[in-house]
Amino acid sequence: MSRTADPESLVRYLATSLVDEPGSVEVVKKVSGDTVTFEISLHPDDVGKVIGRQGRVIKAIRTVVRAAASVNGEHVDVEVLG
Amino acid sequence: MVRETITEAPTIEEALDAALEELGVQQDAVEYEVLEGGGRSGLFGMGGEKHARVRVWLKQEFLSEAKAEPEGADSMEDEHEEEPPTEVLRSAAEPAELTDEELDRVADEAVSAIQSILDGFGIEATIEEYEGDEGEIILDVVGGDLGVLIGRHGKTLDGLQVLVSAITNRRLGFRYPVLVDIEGYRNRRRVKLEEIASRSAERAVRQGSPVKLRPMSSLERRVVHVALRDNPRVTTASEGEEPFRCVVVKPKGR
Repeated sequence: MSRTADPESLVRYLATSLVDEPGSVEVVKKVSGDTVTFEISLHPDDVGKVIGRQGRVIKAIRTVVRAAASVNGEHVDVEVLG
Repeated sequence: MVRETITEAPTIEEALDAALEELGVQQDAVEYEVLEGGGRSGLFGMGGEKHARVRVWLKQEFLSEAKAEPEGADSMEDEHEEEPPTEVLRSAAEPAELTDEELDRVADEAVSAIQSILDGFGIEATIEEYEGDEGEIILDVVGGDLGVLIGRHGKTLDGLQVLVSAITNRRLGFRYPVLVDIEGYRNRRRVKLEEIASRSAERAVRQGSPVKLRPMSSLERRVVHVALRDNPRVTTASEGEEPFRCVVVKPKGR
């Protein structure tokens, strides 16, 4: 069975599940050359929740989303717009 | 469960850090005293011996929490954003006080978070549910060929753990220890780390000098510290900065 991952949905799920204002979450996929970046926009009060203490949560998001993208042979990055 | 520890490091901050790691708690759960000076890192520039020793103990109200927390589960507690009120910590500290319905809710939320993440990977797998020795809920994802969820040295699994804990705690409004595993990896890894720990201890004693292990996550380092805690011939400490922080096993009496 071949797998198809959906890293964009994964980013959206994680971001909306970690915040108080899921309605304000927007995820935009930016492609520049070979680089795919998912940019997360959030309610200002929620930025800290997605980044976490010492960047712990955003690091976990990057690690997990990159692993998912690797299933499709893709390389992606995740950024939070402050 | 250790309620008090004495740690040594070049600076007070690092000694404190090592103690928190050993106790498996956050700084708000402890009080400490500085036994030996040390300097704030950086202030004294290059060179010069810096040495700090601190005694760190759990605050009374956190004793039960530490006891209830499964070993090696420190990362599950870390990502909570706001300083939680003591009340919340207490309820999380005593898993036994949750009713069956509440326990089911914890497991349901965690399973649903894992399931949603698996969907993002395009992976269909089974999630098996166990109760750990200290009341924690263990969720083991099984189904074969799940290496992508583990990652090198368990890095992806560590990420999953942080996210599943954070999402579950947020949904519940309180903390309860939930440990995510993939194909029993943590257990196998723990056994392996314990072997590495005891071999390193033997080597440190035999050669009479410290043995430095490869960089590990805080969870892995904790397994090593705990494995050698009762070994009378060596002491352990964590050194270096993340993500290269590693355990150093030192022979005693030098």
